Amino acid sequence: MSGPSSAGPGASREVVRLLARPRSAADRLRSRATAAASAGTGVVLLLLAAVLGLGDDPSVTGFEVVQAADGSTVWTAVTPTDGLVPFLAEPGLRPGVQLGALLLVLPFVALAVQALRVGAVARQQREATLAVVGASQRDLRRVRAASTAAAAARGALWAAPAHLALWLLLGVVPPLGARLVPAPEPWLALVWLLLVILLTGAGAAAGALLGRRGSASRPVPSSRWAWAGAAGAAVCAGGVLMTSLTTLDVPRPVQAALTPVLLLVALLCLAACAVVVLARAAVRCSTRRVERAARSGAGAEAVLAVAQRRANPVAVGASGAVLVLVGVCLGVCTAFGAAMVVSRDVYGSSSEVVFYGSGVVLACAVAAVAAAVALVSLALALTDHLAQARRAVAATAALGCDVPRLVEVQARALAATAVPSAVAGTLVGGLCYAGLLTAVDWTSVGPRTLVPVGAVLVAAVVAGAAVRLVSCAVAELLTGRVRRAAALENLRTP
Amino acid sequence: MSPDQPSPPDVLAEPTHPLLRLAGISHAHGRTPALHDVDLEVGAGTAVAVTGASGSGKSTLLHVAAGLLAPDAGTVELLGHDLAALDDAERAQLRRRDVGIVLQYGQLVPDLPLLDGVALPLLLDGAALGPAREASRAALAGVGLSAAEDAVPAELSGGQAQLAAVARALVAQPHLVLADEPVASLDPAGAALALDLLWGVVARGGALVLVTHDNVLAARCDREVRLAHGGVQHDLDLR
Repeated sequence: MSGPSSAGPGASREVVRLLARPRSAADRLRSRATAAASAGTGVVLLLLAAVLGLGDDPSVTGFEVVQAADGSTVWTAVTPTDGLVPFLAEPGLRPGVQLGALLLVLPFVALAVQALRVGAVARQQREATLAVVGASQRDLRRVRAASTAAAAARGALWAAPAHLALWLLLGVVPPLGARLVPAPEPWLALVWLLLVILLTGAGAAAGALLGRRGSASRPVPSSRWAWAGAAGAAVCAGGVLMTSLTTLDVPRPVQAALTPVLLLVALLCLAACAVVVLARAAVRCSTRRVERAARSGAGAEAVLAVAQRRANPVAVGASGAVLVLVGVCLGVCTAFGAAMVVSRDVYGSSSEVVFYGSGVVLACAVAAVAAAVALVSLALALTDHLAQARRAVAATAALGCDVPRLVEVQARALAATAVPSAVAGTLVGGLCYAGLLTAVDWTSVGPRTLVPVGAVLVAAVVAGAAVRLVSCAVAELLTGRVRRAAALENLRTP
Repeated sequence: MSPDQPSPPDVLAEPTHPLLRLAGISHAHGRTPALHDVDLEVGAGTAVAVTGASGSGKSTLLHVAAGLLAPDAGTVELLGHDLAALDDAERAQLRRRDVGIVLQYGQLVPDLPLLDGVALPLLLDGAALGPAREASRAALAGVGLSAAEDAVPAELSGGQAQLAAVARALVAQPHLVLADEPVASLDPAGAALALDLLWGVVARGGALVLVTHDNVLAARCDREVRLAHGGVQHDLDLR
């Protein structure tokens, strides 16, 4: 008898690679989505690095500091050869762009969370089979880690070409003064290599952790994670505050390096906290809505959509959190824009309108990208649901629910998360900002404060309607997958 | 297993020592009891049939015996090793080297070509791809599936998948085979072939535990253990 006198060598690298290779459609979808999330994160972080690396020389800022003969400092305007927008050219305005770039990491993290869950049921069944033939938990971890690390590495490698393409599109084509992406410096290649290593490592770690948490029927995270996230965010926000206080004699380079890192960690903590809160809320709300729909005799589509939403609370929470942030951004921009319009006497000059207007447009563009990524995450969750629950979908179809009604179920499931999140975010962000404007100048309560409030309410309605329309469009795009899932042959497959 | 632990008895050298010993096994799936105080010993050169109605705990017993499921109470000794004293890696090693498992419906790894799927116990044990595939090829030839070595499980019939599962269970030449309805989806010729291969393990001095509803198949075994409501209803010596 050979016996386990000592744990054997386990599966060789060759075997781990063999088992990690994406083979099924779900494996390939997971791999592609993970690579896309990794590439997106890489591009955003490269952009952030490029902005952080912008210097103070006249070619960027458009100002030259000259020492006059009498010893005084004279600022001379020069033509900025880089032609960047003022938000990037002026060092004092760059933190806003850096914050925007940091926020843009979150939707890609949410996409990665969803991507790693694609085909979870099939993967767990496969792992159970591997365990039967003698795979240890370590072997299974290695297979998962190898598979996600390969996808993350592939995505990270694409980050540099994508960044170059973005630079050509937004940093070369636009006229001087309107360029959004700084010209890539040689040192950015080193940052890229570092990102490839970091993202590959993060992919491997995420893959290894997947099984430990039990991904297929993962319960809603407990609220103590929300508290931990909130505490982490508070600690990091405190750190940002402390590093920003010059009284603490923190050297400027240290401040400059620490602040974005702490901000990123704080934002990730807040996002994690929001995911937990929203996931728990989604389950509670879905349960109530199913009961209410059943009592009121609502259509089968409503009941199925709410039940489907409940099936994947973590994905719902992650994408919902991103859409809330997008809504906040939209709300603030709307309130600010409306305040600008009614305060033409303050923001009168055309240069100011162009300056602030372009800032609002830029923020809205970033929010639109984030919203698009969040909707892709939700669509990915639906696609995965259709593949994993194809027997249930086929059974529903066999009971008389035709394909158009099933497509409507997908649209409702998508909208059930996206619409309330976007509307709530718009209202919270916009009304808080409008409230802030009133607090700053509370003696002038009137059109200057009421118009922004009205604009925010209109923006919330428009955002809700737009997201609902996009949900319907995405569901229509999924019609082919719905039809395949509803095929009666699926009733015979295990 | 820690180095200071006494090494287990060489059960193949001591015919009186059972290859598999379950003592006082109880297990529940959530709040549903599946096994209650089950004792079972399987010696070398023995084929044991485990029978019983659906839901009587037969498959759970097999999973507990294989170390795939930790019982709520009781001890499992597999080839002289107390499974509770082994860590996950050691239990896995025991499974891939010394225990062959055939589950209902085959349970092959989807999307993996049959040649690699059958070689998995060897590959997971660190064997090089070439020799493992050679062994797999021989095992597939033994069950008449040489022509299907490049096929993936979805391209096989239920019976072919079951035969491939038998080949996979035997590829590492285990001392104990645990089989759950191994011939339920096979035609008479395929069933005879699979059973001959499984009984080959018994002839080599190993042991076979067979979960079955088939009374004729149970009668071919040396013993029949009948389960009812998670407990042993009777343990008959059929020799």
